[in-house]
Formats: sequence, structure tokens, C-alpha cells
Amino acid sequence: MMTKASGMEMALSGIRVIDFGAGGIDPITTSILADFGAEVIKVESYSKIDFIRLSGRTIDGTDDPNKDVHFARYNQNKFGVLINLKFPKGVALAKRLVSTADVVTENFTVGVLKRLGLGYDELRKVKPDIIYMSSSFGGQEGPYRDFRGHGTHLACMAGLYDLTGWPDESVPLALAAFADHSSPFLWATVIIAALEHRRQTGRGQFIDASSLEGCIDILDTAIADYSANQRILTRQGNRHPAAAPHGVYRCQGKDRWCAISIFTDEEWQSFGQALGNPAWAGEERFATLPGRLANADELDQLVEGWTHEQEAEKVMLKLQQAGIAAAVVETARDLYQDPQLAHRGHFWELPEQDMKGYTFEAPAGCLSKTPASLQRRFPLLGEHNEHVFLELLSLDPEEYKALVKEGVIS
Amino acid sequence: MGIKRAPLAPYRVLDLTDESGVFCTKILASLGADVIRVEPPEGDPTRSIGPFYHDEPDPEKSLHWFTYNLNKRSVTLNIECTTGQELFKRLVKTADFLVECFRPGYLDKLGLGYAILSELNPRLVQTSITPFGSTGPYRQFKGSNLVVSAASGYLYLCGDAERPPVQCATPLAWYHTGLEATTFTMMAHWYRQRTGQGQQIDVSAQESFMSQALPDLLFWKSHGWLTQRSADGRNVAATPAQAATPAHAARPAQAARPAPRSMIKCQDGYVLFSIRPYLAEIREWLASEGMTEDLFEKEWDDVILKKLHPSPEQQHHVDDLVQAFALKHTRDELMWGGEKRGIEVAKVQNVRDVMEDTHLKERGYFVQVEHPEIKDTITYGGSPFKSDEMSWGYQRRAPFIGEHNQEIYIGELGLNKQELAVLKEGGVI
Repeated sequence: MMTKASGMEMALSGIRVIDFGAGGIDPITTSILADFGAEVIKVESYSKIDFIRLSGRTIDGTDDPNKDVHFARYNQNKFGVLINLKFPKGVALAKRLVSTADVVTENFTVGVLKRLGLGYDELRKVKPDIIYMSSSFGGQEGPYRDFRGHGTHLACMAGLYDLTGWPDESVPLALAAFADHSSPFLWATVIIAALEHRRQTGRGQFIDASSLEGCIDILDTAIADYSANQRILTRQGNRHPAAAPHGVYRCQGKDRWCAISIFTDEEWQSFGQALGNPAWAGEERFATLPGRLANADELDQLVEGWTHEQEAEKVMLKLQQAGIAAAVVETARDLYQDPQLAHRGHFWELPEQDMKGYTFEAPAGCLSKTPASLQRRFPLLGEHNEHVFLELLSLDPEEYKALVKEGVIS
Repeated sequence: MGIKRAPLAPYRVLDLTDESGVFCTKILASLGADVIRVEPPEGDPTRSIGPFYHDEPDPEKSLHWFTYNLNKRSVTLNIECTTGQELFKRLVKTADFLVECFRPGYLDKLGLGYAILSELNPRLVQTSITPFGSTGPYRQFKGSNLVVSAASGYLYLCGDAERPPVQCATPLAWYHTGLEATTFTMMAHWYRQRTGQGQQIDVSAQESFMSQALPDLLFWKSHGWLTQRSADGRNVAATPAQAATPAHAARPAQAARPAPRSMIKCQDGYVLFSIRPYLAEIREWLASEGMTEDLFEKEWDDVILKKLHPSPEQQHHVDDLVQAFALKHTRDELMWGGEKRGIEVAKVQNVRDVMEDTHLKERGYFVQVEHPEIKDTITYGGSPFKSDEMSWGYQRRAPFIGEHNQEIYIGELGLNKQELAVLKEGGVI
């Protein structure tokens, strides 16, 4: 509605998505679509609130499901309606909504929506070319069919945790719900591919999206390496097989660090010059990459001997000016003060009174003609019932009132 | 059920990426696009990235090249000389997408900037992937996977408190950036298909990978918390560490709440165990082996049955009990035991575990691709989704250097053999 009002044609203008999902991966997928102009209608009910609304992290310290910071971040730009799917009338209403849509997404436990009468085969009866994506932990079939879990669990199963850390420690050291924030981009891509397929063939489809499988590509070349060379990749700390120095070096202050990567011999020479040509930087054994790799431990100590008395920002700027890849290990505080991010306007801020000052990142892709935009904050529970049911679906006002009264729209 | 189709089959991609963006064109190729690698005459620099097939360092045996260039074709072309630039423009006229990772301004200097290319082909979608984006004070800064991980806020979250932040052994920042770049490319594609208009997409790897620092970003702004790296592998989910500003001090109850999941050691490795939401189920499970200690005493009934939030001490106590229990079990016993009881327990798998994972095998996730020239078959990751309509897949191994020069320059652009010979002679291809 606001898209039309502002007259701005966006990349996905005209695409309507009905989202029955909850949690992380499914809602983030549709928020990406919404950021680029899709009209996403999120379906919840008082009997099944998106559990992320109850994550316990609210803007004001209350338990208000309309103030959760996670929910706010995963559901911007969407419309929110309430339909109690336990009522047959609720299922009928949901079908009516789907009959006007292009895409349906859900991430219920496998089989639940089907039992409610909202499976793919039912919905294609009301909208033959519907694109229906069910995302789940491991897919709709297979031994892990009934597994539940968060992005962190997926990252463990996909190998990310095993590969993060130091070679001399066994404890996995990642801190990442990685799949929660990667899979959505994959699923958004697949949904647009399905729209393209529909454009070419006129056909919709059911997509069984396995977030575990969507995460396996983090293994990079380790799959082919195991297959071709029978090698099992292990933790490498901050080392790189083709760069030295390559690491995270302590800087002045508490828990301040700068990451540095030196690949070529030319970069190594510039590094020496940037440091004012200390004797060690000119040593023959460090002149070539093989020499630096062979002496990497000692090199790390020498580099840290230089960095640890300086501010991380100064190390970064000095080295980047010398043509060397380097960056402060930024905390969230640093990111909000990062001049590059500020220049690029990477943060969106909510104007609404109830979440005043709530800021989050805009999409990282700057499309020159159809940029993403923040049209509205996350929906409050049932906020757009009237807009969706009365205006978009043209429900008779009396029928609408009755459905509210009966607890169907609730 | 019809035959599965590759949705991007009608479209051509010119691929001038490096390792920071090649995952994008890999995905476009798996969706069926005709992806043409445009390599310098001596071969693409990413061919030197190891590991190598049978550890033989050879530009035709890089497993990085193998992995990321499945289903693609290759031409060689020196875009730094005038003849090469003219040929490149002819290629651009036939293309739907251009994906590149050059430093900002490089293509402009060659006379191949988006302004010029889009005049030749207004439908062109050009995706430009750089470490920090193509505008702003850091636009010329160099990046590596480690450096971008640092600049994005992700790296700070990984490691233990006593040591420096530590990376993953695979390039997660490049993985994630390529993934996001693909989504944005598809957005622009959809707009182009409706309107006929191409556009340029400026993707910053720093900004992309910030998606993975999201919990930390959220809590800093809303609560003034910085997440601290975990010292003992426990509490791996966001743990508020420092209530930094007075404005945020009003939320001690939330600040004190420990993480819901813990990394637990067992007989054959580690599992990530969701503990806090499942205290009742866990108590029953531990009881079945007589390992509950005091969990049936009254103070615990309050926490468990009334689902109150446990204090950090209580949480650590349960963690300790679960830990003792887990040491008597294997990862699989805990994972399947959890599944039976509705508790999320995931095993920490290494590369071999993943490749021999029964679920992935049963779903036929991994694919084998023939490499006839080395008389071998190599396994790669496969389709992340299943559909009766749409395919995702690889039929063809990665191309050799300039393998498709003839096919493309003669067969498709209409050059003749003499012209091709001259170009080769002149070092253009």
C-alpha cells in the first residue's frame, strides 16, 4: 500500500507472499523479500504467536510481544494478521488469502500444515501456480525429518563449529547461529528462481528447503579435498596456507585487536616500510612467502610487538594506506561508529514512538535503480487485520466482525 | 509431473569474480545459467588456490577451481588491451549478467565501467562485489576473508576470552558475501524481466557479513550489551557481558539470563544441547539413569514446573549435571535421545562426519561429477532443496583454461579461425 502511495517501483513490487512461519530462517527469508518490495503478510494467532516475539529480549525490559528486538529485526516491512487455524473457518480464510498470493512460506514441524488442510495439494487447488516453500531443519524426508533446532544446531551439524578454533584446543569456539542468517538468502534466491520458473512455464511448485543442506557449502573445498585426497580439514587458528603474517594481533586497550593478511612479497615490503623498516622486517628468511610461512610463529610475535602499543584503528589505517589488508576486529559498538558504514547509510532506524531509536542494518546490496527501503516497522499482533481482510480481500464488514467475534480472526 | 527445468537456463553470466564473489556465480550456474569465466590469458589467479587434486600444484588441478566453477565455461581474454576490450564489449552484448570483484574504478579506467556497458546492453545486471563497497572512505581498502570477518563484527564473537578472536578454517565471509550477492542479483533480474531495465548492484562484503554479527548488533543498540567470546565453550549463544550505559541499566533481569544452549562434551566429541527451555524433559531423562542429584527438590520444582527463568548458578548446575550425563554417552545417543524427547541436541560434526551423514546420504545430497581427463570422479555438495519442477545441479566439471574459446568466439560471436589465431598470437586470448 505504501509502496503504491509513494509511487516507487521496487524490485519485487507486485509479488504477494503469505508467511505462516515463525522463528528465524523463515521470517528472515520473507523479510529480505519485503525489503525489496514484496508484499509479505505474516499470519499468526493468539494461540500461536511467533515464538520469537517471546525471546525475552525487549526494547523496554518488559515481556511485551510487541517489543521484542529479535522479532523487530526479522519482520520489518511486513503486514501482520491473526488467523486461528484451529477453526475450519480460519483455514478457509487462510485459503482465501493464499488464492490472491504468489508465494507461501512455512516452517511448521513437518506435516502440521498438511494436517490442518493447508498443504501444497490443498493450496494449489485455490491457486494452481502457487509457489510453496516449506523450510525445515533437514527437509521433509529422511532420518532427521523430525529434528528441530536453531541456526547454531545447524552450524554444528554442517561442520562450522568443528572448524572454528585453535588446533591445540578441542572445544568448538564459534558463537554463531550461522544458518539463521545465511539460509534466508539462499531461500530468497530459490523463491525468485521459482518465480522465474513460473514466468517461463506458468507452473508453481512445492519446494522442500532443507536448511542443513543449505549450510553444507560452508565446507568450501573440504568436500572435494576429502573426496579426492581423503583429507579431513581441521582447525587452522588464524593461519592461511598462502599468507603470512596472517592473524589477529593484540592492540592497545582491553580486548582490542587488528586482523592483518599479507599475501605477496610486495605487500611484505610495504609492511616493512610502513613500520619504519625495523631490522627484523628486512631479514632474508622473511623475504619470501615460503620463508614467512615456515617462521610464522616468530613472525606473529614480532608483528604483535609492533601492534600491541598502538590503537587498532591506527594499525588498520596505516597498513591499508600501505596497500595491506587490515581491519580492526570490530565490536557492535565499533560498527555503529564505523565511518565507512556511516558513509554508506548501512543502518535503518525505526521512527515509531514505541521503538524509538531502534536501529538495524539495511540490506548489503545497493541496487542502483530499485534499492531496498524501510517502509514500515515490524507488525504488532494483528495490526493489519482490517487492511488485509477488508481492503485486500474485500471481506464483507459484517462477515469480518463475525469472524473476529467467533475468534477466527484472533 | 513434468521434466525438471533449470530456471536460469536462458541467461548468460560473464564471470569476472575472484574468491570473494565466486560463490555467487557458482549458485547462478547451479540454477542453470550459462556462466562464462573470463580468464586472463595465463589463467585465472584463483587457479592457484589450494588444496590441489592429489596435492599436485597445477592450475588445472585446483580443488578451489573445481568446486566453484562446476557447469561453467571458460574463455581467455586480456581486458587490459584495446582489442580485448572490444571483444569483451561484444560478449557483454550477449550477456544478461556481469559479476565482478575488481577494485572500484578499475573497469572504469579500462573504459568498461557500468555506464559504458549499460549503453551497449541496457538489460545488463552488473553485480560488483568489493570488500568494503564501491563508495566511502574505505572503498579502496583491501580485504581478505579474515580482514572482512574482523570488519563485520563476526570475528569478535568467535574464540575464547583469553585468546585472540579466531576464524573458521573455511572462508565464511566469502561464502556469505557470495550468497547475499546472489540474492541481490536475482532481485535485479526479476525487475529486469518485468521492465527490461538492468542496473548495477554494489555489494560490500563487510556489510554482507554483518548479517552474522546480528545478535551482537541487536543487543548493543537495544540493551548496551557487548557479547563476550566464550571462555569454556559454554553459553555459546549471545551472552550479555557488560551493561555499558546507564540508560540500559534498567534491565538487570534480562541481562542476568544465561544462554539457552550449551556446548557439552561427550564420549566421542561435542554436542550442542538446548538446556534451558527443556528442564522438565531433561530432568526425566537424567532420572532414567539416576543422575538427577537434587533436581527433584522443591526449589527446582518452581523453576522447572512453573517454567521460571533459572538463575545463572542454577543454569550452571544443570549444565554440570547434563555434562556428567553426557560423558557416559555418544553424540548419536544424545542426539537421538533428544529427538525422542523433543529436546534440540545437535552433534558437532567434522568434515568426514558430514560426508558420511546418513540423513544427507539418504536424501542424495552429495553429487559425483566425472573428471574424464584425470580418470576420476569427485564429490561435491549438491542441491539444498527438492522440487519436482526445478533443478539445481551440476553435469559438467570445471573448465580448463580457455577451454571454450573456439566454441564461444567462433561458434557464438562469429569470429573466424584466422582472427582467433591472431588474437592468440597477440596475447589477447
